[in-house]
Amino acid sequence: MTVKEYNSIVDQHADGMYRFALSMSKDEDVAKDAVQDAFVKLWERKENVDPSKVKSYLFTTVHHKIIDGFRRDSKHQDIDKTVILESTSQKTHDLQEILHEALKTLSEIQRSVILLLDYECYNYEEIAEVTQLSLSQVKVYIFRGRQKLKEYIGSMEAVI
Amino acid sequence: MSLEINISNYEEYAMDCIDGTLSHELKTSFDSFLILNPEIADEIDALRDFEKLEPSLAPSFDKNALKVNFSGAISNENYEDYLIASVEGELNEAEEKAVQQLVASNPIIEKDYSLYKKSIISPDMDVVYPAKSSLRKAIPLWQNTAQVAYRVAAVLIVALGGMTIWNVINEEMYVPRNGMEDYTAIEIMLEQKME
Repeated sequence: MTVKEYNSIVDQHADGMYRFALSMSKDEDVAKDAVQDAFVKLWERKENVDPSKVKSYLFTTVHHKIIDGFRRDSKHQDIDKTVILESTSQKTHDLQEILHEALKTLSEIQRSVILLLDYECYNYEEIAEVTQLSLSQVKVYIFRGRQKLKEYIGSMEAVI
Repeated sequence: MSLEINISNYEEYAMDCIDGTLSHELKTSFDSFLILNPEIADEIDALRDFEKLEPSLAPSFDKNALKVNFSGAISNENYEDYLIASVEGELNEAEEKAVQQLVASNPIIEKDYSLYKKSIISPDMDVVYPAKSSLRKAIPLWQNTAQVAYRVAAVLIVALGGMTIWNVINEEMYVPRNGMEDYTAIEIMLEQKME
């Protein structure tokens, strides 16, 4: 991988990775660190990363960085723990804003697979590769995540 | 020389002893140690008993409840799997047709389907990585042939330009001699010599 190719990959994926990391972590610094870390690792291993798998490699690194951060963080001890909504007072009538609020009700893993699916249009196999889960696990997490989102927007439907 | 198993190191070999994976030599040594330490022999026996525990044959919970049922005919139990798969474009034509028929036939399912369709999250494209230039790397000269060519061309242009200017200046300073005058001067010199 030449510097030119690397820079092209930065242009191509940095924004998508950042959106994914920010939606996962809800913290700009954490998201920026995760993206930067992924590119540093990519450059360090540029000779070993299959060019066709670069995007997958980058998102895998970001995913694990964020999930590891949750694990280290005492506020997120349980990986499959549902995050309680901070506040429902700031109601909004915009469906996408409501959905992004609803994302907070998902566990980190559920959020990750849903975002990879919706933001990046990954298929189930690719999500399994990025998250290093089995295909069945991915399907289960997507199913449960989608159900929670549906229930959330169902309950908020009056304001949509 | 055989390894001596003692109070300090017996734990390293205890599980291998229970699993029956100790070498004959170590087994002999371990047995000798147990004879000398009956209280530890009791511990090892207790572990052996623990090892013999069999898992209950009866499942403690219904494993099928964990699975996403995504095969066979659509039923009350699995219709939500199909609704989600439909929203995510994972169904084949026949399955999609079956889902649409089901949705059309039941207002409650239609409502669920509508909510699932709404649950697709779109990224906010205005959110971009704030310092992308910090991620980029400077391209080394040898990796950018176009850049090298531009630089060589620039050097040549500067050099040629410099030479042109130099020539122009020189031309302005050069005062051409009048050929006739020079010739006349030579003739005068020759005449003077001849005289």
